[in-house]
Amino acid sequence: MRSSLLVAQWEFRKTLRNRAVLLSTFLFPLMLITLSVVMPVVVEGLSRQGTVTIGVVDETGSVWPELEKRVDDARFTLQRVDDPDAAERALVAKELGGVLLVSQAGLAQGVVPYWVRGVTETPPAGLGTTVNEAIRTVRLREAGLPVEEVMPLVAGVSLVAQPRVQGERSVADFAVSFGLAFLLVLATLITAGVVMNSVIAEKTSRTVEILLSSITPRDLLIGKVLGYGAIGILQVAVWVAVALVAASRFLPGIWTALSPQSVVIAVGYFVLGYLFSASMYALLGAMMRDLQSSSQSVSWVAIIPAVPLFVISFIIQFPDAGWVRGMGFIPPFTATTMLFRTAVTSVPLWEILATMAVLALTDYLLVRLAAKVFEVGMLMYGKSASPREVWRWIRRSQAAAR
Amino acid sequence: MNVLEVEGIEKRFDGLVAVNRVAFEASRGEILGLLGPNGAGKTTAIRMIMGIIRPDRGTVRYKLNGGWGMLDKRQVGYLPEERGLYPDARVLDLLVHFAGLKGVPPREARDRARADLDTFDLGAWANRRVEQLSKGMQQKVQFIAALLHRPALVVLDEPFSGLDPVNQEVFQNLIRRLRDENVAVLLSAHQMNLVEELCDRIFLIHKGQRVLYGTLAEIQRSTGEHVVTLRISAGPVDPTDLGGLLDVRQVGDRVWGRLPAGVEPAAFVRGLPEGLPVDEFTIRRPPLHDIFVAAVRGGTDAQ
Repeated sequence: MRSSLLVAQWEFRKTLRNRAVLLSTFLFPLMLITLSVVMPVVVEGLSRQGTVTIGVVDETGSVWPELEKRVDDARFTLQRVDDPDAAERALVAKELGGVLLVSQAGLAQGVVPYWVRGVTETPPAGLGTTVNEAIRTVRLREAGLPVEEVMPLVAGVSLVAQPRVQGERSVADFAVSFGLAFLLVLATLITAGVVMNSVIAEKTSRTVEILLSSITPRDLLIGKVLGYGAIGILQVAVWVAVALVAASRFLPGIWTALSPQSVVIAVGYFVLGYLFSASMYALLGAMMRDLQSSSQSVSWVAIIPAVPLFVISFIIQFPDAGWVRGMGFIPPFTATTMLFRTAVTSVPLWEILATMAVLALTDYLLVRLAAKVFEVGMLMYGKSASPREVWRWIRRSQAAAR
Repeated sequence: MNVLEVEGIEKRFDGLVAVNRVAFEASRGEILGLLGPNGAGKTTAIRMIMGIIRPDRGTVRYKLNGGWGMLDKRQVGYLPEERGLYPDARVLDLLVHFAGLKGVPPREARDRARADLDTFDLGAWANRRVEQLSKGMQQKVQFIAALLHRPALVVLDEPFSGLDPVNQEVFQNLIRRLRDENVAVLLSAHQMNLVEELCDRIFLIHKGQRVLYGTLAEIQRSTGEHVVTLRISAGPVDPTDLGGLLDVRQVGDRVWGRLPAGVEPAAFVRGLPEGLPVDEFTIRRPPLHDIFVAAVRGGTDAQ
């Protein structure tokens, strides 16, 4: 174990000096700050610039005056056009962003056609509500009803979700678990692959012979996974810290809303999930001949923690469904699935402990498997190993150990 | 006193025998030359000795900590044939790390590394990155790394390859110093002249099998042959006049030939024609280079 720690320390220090790692550690939060601070300003500016002019062809003559009264929206302005052909020409010439066609026939069917240039264009947000209000007012008036009195009676209501169950997750807890799930996917893509590169580099540069003349393959592998694990965790810690500081600007109560228990669970899943990816990469590195032959494998390992992302909407909607709970016990998906689940529901403690134990055991077995492959594969220069060969090596290694 | 006993080790790769029941031993204060052509099985044998790969058969025993037992990797130094250092690491940090893996505390490793770097005139390069060093310098760094933990057994696989004559001499002197310090040295090299100068005993492996084993004198005697050199001032000589001499070559006034086993040198001298104008005459056992070539080509099967 002492040797593993020495290797871990060495890899940690060596990697921290690597400019690419330093850049991704500190540039990413910089981007995060930029996005969170600058983007809202930019979006606001863009939305102001993006005001569209909508042409209104009102064949009824009664809807336009009501529409005109309600044009108080930053997103669009309304302009009356008498002739539909002129409106169409203006639309084609991009002088208008869209055209509303209000006719008695249409209203009778409950339809107001909205002309656009192509299928990708949609009415600006809020236009539907404005048009509905105007038409409702006209209809009430034409029916001889007192508009000011009836309008509040027919006004719609908004549904506002307010969690009332004790012990349910706060927004901050949700954000931490959810954020870590995404960071796990991101960190796996950015950093965990470095483990594989390091293993392959040592193999091709033959440094491994010196190392294996001093320590066992298992110590070397565990050291590497721990060293790079520490780097990944440090990196994500920096990101999370920056994100929380940035978030506290917008959500002042975020620090107090965080429950220590949720943070510990989320970090636990993150660390175990990250070690899983690092071990997988170490195993691949031991099997691969060079960086070229490894590039394809990288993509499928990188995608493993991302798999639950494909079904994220189902996990959030049915976090306690049998198959979602089952997915939490499949080691490659455990970390991401459980981070999503714990973000949206209260998972029983036994399930958290059981899934963590399964993942931790898998991590350990994976490192041991990687060490076995490494022991034989490292010195088989010049060829990548097929899964069949790997199986043979493991068996040979076990036979030799007896 | 033996520190290493290799007993009938065998290793196969995909059915091919790389090392076939090889046995030898190495003692403290001795340099054992491990020779063989490329692909003979030297490096595989060395990797088994170093505990990097396991033999399929046979055992390797070590006496590094007083009694016979398993390999204690902290007591063994290794300079592999294929050099490999972390290119982006600083020289001093790298040496301290490698020594740390051998159990040397960081402070002690740092002090020793600085001293050893000075010995090799590399003191000024201690804080440079490995990639900034020349190939020869990197080789010296690796040599230092192999010895920094002061091992009892040192395995040097091709330590002279890529070195200029000056550095070859530096390395030679260091290897001799290791012997003087009672270290057992296992040396694999292709430079036969250096092996002749350095090694106390020689083990020649070919196609995974032992071909020759013993001191240089024993191996030379085992061939039974002699090499004869003559300088004859009176122009070309008729080879038939040099009765019994085989493979005669003549360049200018110099003549070389091989005296086969069974022919006594004294008898050969007596058989030379009267009046042969000899200016210089030597007769000696064949050099290691010739024995090596003959053994590898299958001419010699002496043990």
